[in-house]
Amino acid sequence: MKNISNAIANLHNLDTLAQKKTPAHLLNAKIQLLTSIFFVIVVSSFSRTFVGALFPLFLYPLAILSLSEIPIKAVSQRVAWALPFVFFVAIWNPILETNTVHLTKNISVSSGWISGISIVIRSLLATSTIILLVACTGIPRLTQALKNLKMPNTLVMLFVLIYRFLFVIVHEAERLTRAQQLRSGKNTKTRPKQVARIIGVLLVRSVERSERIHTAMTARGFQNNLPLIEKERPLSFIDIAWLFAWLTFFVVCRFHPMFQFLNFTIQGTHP
Amino acid sequence: MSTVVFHSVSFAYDGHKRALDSVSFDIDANESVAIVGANGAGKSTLLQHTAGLLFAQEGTIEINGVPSSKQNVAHVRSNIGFVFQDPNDMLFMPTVFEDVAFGPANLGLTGNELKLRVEKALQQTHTTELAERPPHHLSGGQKRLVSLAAVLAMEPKILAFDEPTAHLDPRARRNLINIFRSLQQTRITTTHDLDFALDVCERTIVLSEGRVVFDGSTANAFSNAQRLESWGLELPLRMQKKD
Repeated sequence: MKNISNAIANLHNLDTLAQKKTPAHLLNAKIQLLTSIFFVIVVSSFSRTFVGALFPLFLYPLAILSLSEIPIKAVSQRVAWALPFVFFVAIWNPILETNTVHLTKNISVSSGWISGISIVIRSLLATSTIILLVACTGIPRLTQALKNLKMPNTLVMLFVLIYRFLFVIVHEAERLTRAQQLRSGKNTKTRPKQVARIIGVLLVRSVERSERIHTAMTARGFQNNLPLIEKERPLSFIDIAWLFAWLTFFVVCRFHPMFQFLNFTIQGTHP
Repeated sequence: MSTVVFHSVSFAYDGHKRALDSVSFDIDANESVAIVGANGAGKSTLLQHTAGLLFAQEGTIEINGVPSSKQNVAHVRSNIGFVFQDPNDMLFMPTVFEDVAFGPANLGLTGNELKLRVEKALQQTHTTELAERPPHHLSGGQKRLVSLAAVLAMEPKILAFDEPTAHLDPRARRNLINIFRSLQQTRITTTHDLDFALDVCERTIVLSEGRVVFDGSTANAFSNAQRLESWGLELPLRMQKKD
C-alpha cells in the first residue's frame, strides 16, 4: 500500500522536476533528445566484452545531473526499478558463457562474468540518461521534440498515452489495495487467488477510467494530437555546441585507442 | 433564441432499456437549467448528448442552430464546455497552467493569445495563484475550480456541469456557487444537490426513467413534497420541516 503511494509520488515527481529552470532544462528539447539518443546508440554499440571503456561515459549523465540540480536519489530510485530486470538478463551470461578469460597471470574468470557486468553497466548508463532526459524536458516538450524529429504521430501519441495511463493504473491499484486491506481483518497476507482477482478488477477499472479521461480530453478538443502549450526556445549556439561537444566525446570514447587501452588497464583484457 | 434544442430524443445503451425516452425541451441563451432526477433517471446520458459525447438514436438535437451529429462534432464541442463530475478525469498535465491551456491550444491558440486566455480563466475561478502547481497536489475544491477554469478557457457559449458540488466541503461549495452566479453562459447542470439548484438555476427539468416529467421554474419543481417523492426525490434541505 505504502509502496503504491510512493510509486504515484515518484511518477508525479518526474513531472515536477521538469518544471525547473536550470541550464540543463533550458537546453532545446530536440537537442537533449538527440544527444540522449546518440548516447544510447554509442553505449549499445560497444562490444559485450567491454567494461573498462564504458566508465568515461558516466561523465554525460553526471554532467546533466549537476547542471540540472536533480537530486541523485530521484534518478537512482528509478534506476533501481529497472535493475531487477537487468540482473535477470545479465545473470545468465556467467552460466551460459564459460570461456575462460585471464585477467592477470593468476586470476581468470569466465567471459560470461565480463559480458554480464557489461550489460549491467550499459543498462545503468542508458536508463539514468533516459530518466534525466524526461526529468529535464517533461513529457509535453519531449513529445514535441519527437514530432519535430519526424517520429510518426501514432507512435508519439502511444508514448504519451502510455505514460499518462501509467498514473491511472497505479491510482486504481492504490484504491483497490486500500479497499481490500481495510476489509481483510486479521488476514494481513494476500492469497494468490485474491491477487488474481484484484488484477482482473484493476484492468477493468483502469480501462473504464481511461475511457473517461479520453472522453474528457475529447470534450476539450483533443484530436489525437497533443498541443504544445509553451513554445520551445529556438535553437541557439549553446544548443548546437552542446550537441557537437558531446557527440565528439561519445565518438572519441567509442573509437579512440586511448579508451581501448583504458579498457585493457581496468579489465586486464583486450576486447 | 434557443441554444440547445432536444426534439423527441431517445437513446438506449446496448442491450438495455431506454436511458432517454422521447426527451424534448428548448434552452434559451444565458439560461441556467438544472437537470434533476433519481439515480439512473438518465441525467448523465442527457448531458453527454448535449456535449456531443453521445448522439441521439431517435430524434434530433441542435446546438446553436446546428444539428448534433458525428459530422458536426467539432462545432458542438467548440460551443460546449463540459465540466466532469470527477475533476481527476479532466486534469492530467504537469501544471495547472498547462491543464487550463490544453483546451484552447487544441482550438489552435498559441503564444500570448493562449497565455491571456488561460490567465483570464484562472482569474474567473480565483485560481491564479495555483497556475504553477501540479494538479495532483490540489485539494478537491481547488481541482474542481481548475477543471472549471480549463473549460472556461475555451470560451464556450454553453456550459454543462455534471454534479458540480459532489465531494465539496461547505466553503468550497459556497465559493463555487458564487463563481457559478458570475457566469454569463447558458448553463446546464445535472445535480442531486437540490439546494444548489435552488441557488443557481431558475429553471429545472426533472427526469424519471428517461422521460421528462417536469419542466418549469425551480421553485415550482420543489414546491410539492409528494410529487418529488413520486420522482424519487426529496425536498431540498432548506425546505424540509424540522421536527
